Amino acid sequence: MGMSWATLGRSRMYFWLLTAPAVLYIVVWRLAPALYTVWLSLTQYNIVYDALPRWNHFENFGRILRDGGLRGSLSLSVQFAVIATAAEVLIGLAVALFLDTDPPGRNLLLGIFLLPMIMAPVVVGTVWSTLFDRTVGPIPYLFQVLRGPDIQWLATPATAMLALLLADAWEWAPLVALLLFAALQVLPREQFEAARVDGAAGWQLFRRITLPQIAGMIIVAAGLRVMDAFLELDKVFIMTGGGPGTSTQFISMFVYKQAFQFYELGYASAVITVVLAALALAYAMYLRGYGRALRPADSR
Amino acid sequence: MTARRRWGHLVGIALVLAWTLPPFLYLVMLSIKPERILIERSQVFFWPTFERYRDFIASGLGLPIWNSLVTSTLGSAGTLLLGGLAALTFSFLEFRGKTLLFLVILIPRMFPPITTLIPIQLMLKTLGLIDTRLALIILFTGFEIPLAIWVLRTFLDEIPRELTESAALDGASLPAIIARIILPLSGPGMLAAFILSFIFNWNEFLFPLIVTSFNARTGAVAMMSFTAGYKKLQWGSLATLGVVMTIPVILFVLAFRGSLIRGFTAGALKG
Amino acid sequence: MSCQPRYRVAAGLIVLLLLLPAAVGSVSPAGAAGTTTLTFLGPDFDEWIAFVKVANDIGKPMGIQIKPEYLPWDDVFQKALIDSKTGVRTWDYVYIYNTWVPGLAAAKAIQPINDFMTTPEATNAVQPNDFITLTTAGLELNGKLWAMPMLAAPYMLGYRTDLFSDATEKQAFQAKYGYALAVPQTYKQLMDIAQFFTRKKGEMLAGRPLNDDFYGIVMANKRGGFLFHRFEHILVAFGADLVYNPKTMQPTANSPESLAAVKYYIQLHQYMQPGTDTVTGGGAERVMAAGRGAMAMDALDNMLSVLPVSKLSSVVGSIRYALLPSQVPNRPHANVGDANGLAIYALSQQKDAAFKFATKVLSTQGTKEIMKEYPALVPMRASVVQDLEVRRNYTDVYAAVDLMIKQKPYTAFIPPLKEWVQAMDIYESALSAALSGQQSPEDALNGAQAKEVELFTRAGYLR
Repeated sequence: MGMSWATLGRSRMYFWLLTAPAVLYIVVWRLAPALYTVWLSLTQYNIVYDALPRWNHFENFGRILRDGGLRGSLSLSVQFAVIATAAEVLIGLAVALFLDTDPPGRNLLLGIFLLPMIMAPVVVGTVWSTLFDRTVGPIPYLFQVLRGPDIQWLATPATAMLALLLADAWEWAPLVALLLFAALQVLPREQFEAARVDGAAGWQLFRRITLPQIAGMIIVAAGLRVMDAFLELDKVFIMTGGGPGTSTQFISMFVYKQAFQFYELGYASAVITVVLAALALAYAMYLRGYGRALRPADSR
Repeated sequence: MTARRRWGHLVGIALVLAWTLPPFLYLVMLSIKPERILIERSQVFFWPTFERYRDFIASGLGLPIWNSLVTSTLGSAGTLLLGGLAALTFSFLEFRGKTLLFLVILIPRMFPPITTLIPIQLMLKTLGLIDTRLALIILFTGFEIPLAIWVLRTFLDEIPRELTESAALDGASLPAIIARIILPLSGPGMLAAFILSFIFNWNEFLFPLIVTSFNARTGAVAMMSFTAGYKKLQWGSLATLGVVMTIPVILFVLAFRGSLIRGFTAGALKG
Repeated sequence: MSCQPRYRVAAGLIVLLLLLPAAVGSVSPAGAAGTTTLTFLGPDFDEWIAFVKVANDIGKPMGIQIKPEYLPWDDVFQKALIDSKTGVRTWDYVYIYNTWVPGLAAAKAIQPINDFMTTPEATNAVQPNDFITLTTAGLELNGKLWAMPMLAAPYMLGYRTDLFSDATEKQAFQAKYGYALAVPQTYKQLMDIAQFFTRKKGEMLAGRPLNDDFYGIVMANKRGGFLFHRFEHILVAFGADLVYNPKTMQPTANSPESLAAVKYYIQLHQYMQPGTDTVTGGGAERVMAAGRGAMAMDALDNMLSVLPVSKLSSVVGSIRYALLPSQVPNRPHANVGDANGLAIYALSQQKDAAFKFATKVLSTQGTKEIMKEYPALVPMRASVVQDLEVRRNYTDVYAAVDLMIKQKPYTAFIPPLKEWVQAMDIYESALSAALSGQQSPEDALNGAQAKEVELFTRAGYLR
């Protein structure tokens, strides 16, 4: 399908020329700082008190193995990522299907639906922490007016997690909807007509025809979201600060605290290196297995 | 049949709006509610006050917003350029290690800023670029490259290979193929990638905070400092901040929604 | 169809070309010939805005101007730190908070004021003996003063005098608790009063039915620094250490005193406003300003910047400030000190000019000018507090600081420990878990103690 390396011939030079700037840029501005971080993970470096990083071999990694708080954070992040992604896929799929039925003002509707996604994450966190705020927020007020239970929304572990999940779904379901809508749009219409002529309806149409063809895109969207939700920081930071206790201290909050509050860059780098290595591995396997799904369903 | 459809559409539209709009509308309401009755939730009707917005404007946001505009636009242009070239490679070329290369591009983005902040700041200082817009442009170019590659690659994959292959057989050089065949067909994709990376650059806070001080300060940083830290954290001014930060982006997306959607759906090339 | 993209691309390229020169060319700050511009890095607080304004007024005839860069509070520390580590020389002045002193001093980001007091003239300009040591000790480290003291933020108790002097309430209180309703002198009394005044909507308060719930005490308990910042006063009042014993370097998170303080706080928590766990200082004061609380425990300037301001508050004139209550007899009115100051950036290119100018602006006269701009300023100079004009025009501030000077409350300071933020975070996490009922106070504190010991061992303080 594509030109192979062998058939390029003279054009090989052009390809190098074209990609060289990008590669150079990435090596200097993206890779080098990242490698610096990996190097830092082998040092003891408190940026406030240590003048220079001090080589301490694998001490940081040993500490990671013993760190119960870290394990807790990882498990919280995994739970959050999985549940949030599931919710976003469901909501996004529902909206995408709806938009595919071509309602009036569809483009405008999609545009509006996309708004949470393009708001600055800090603003999203602010919005939702205000909504749940027990002094100014409408949600507790609603509960109060309807004589519901007096819940400490952001100060109880279970409801704090719920609030974060809701905010995340609100913010990112639009992305999933956009991707799935794109996938739906390229499905050939004829097959639906043919199926309808054969007597199939509604649910069967969806399950037998639509779903298999957009499965690839669903997996792509889910993959994107799981990774980002796993590293979620802004909303947690603003809404709960990791609390109550450590019940919403996701891995990114953990690293943030180590780096920005304790200023232990060495340990923070070690943690992030380990986490990202694991993530990279998972993502590599996912890409390998579903490499073809990176392209939308096509008729090649 | 059509009546039921119309009803269905109406319900659907209502649900979507009810899900998306209320949080934002509440923010707007808070931003114009007078300070004294701010915590009286039962008071839904009141005479609005715009003094918070006045204060905002008075706090001199002209230069920062201009900085944001310039750096976001040029940064996104850079992203398009580098990402586009990379996307070409991914889309048209078969070689081993594609996955690895994509990961190498993707992973650095996930490193939290604090650790990469210092080497980057050092590099910028050596180049004498502290507190310049150029520094931000250089940084912004790289942030959304993975996103750009992904969007553009999807788009480029849609270009029928017969066109490029026949042109190659006819002896056209690579730059010619790119300029004459690929570029004109990838307009919507490029626009979509541009818009998305523009938005993320516009909202970027941490790097501009550290790298700039007076001259190249961006809108996001200027607006965040308006809430003045922990002491004066008031819902009213926070709400105003949220609204002001979001309005430009909202208008932008709504204005370009058609192109954005087209860029994603690649519908222009099919059917 | 193929026509439009080409137009768009062309239009796009033209726009880009136009922006290019704007991008590369940087705007150089317009400085009139002969003006010295001093840069200031700090938070966008009213007192610093006032400072910059007054400084520019004073500086105009001298040809000195201050150019401020306002950032969110936490980011000021980070920026000062990273800029100094990477050799950026932009700044002259840096705002400093007392808990930042050990860090920025160790990182050599700021220069101690003592380094400039090399001549009698310079020392006289600073007037070091004029500072109220109760408030300034937090800005000192290793015998040196690291910043020019500007604003003190002592923690005090704000209370509704109208409620405390209401006849019906006094009668009811006497009947219920057996002693007269007055400003609480002990924490037991504080608890009683908080309990007494916590009422639901519809109940009576001072002879009138309430339109909303009313709370005994209003506080800001958001996890992430606020919670501990409020609790630490009670911790100290109960005779406990601030997390560890500085003489033995042994953590004492689960000492009996610490446990007692936590239990007390859990009980007091019932009488606080519902949003207390997610609200910061400003938010809590808004609730008090709306007339929903009988008492508030907060930094004095926090309260002063909201409660007496008619635009923001419905209780103007009804609030008075008292020292925090006592618990343990040898720590009367115990509190933990808070200080804000102006430090000189170590890499500044105009250090001497900056120092001279700072002594001028933060002198007695200068401070009075700043107070005119920002009446909630709690000055750290005795001469300012005693000044007749100040006594007359800023009665709240005068009364409060005068109380502090006369009664000499027991004032502790956050120890200059390298790992303080981590140690504090461990404790605060346990406190938060105990407050929300996730863990019993004993379990929470025992768990915290274990983590503290691990931290201190790792840091090399314990074997």
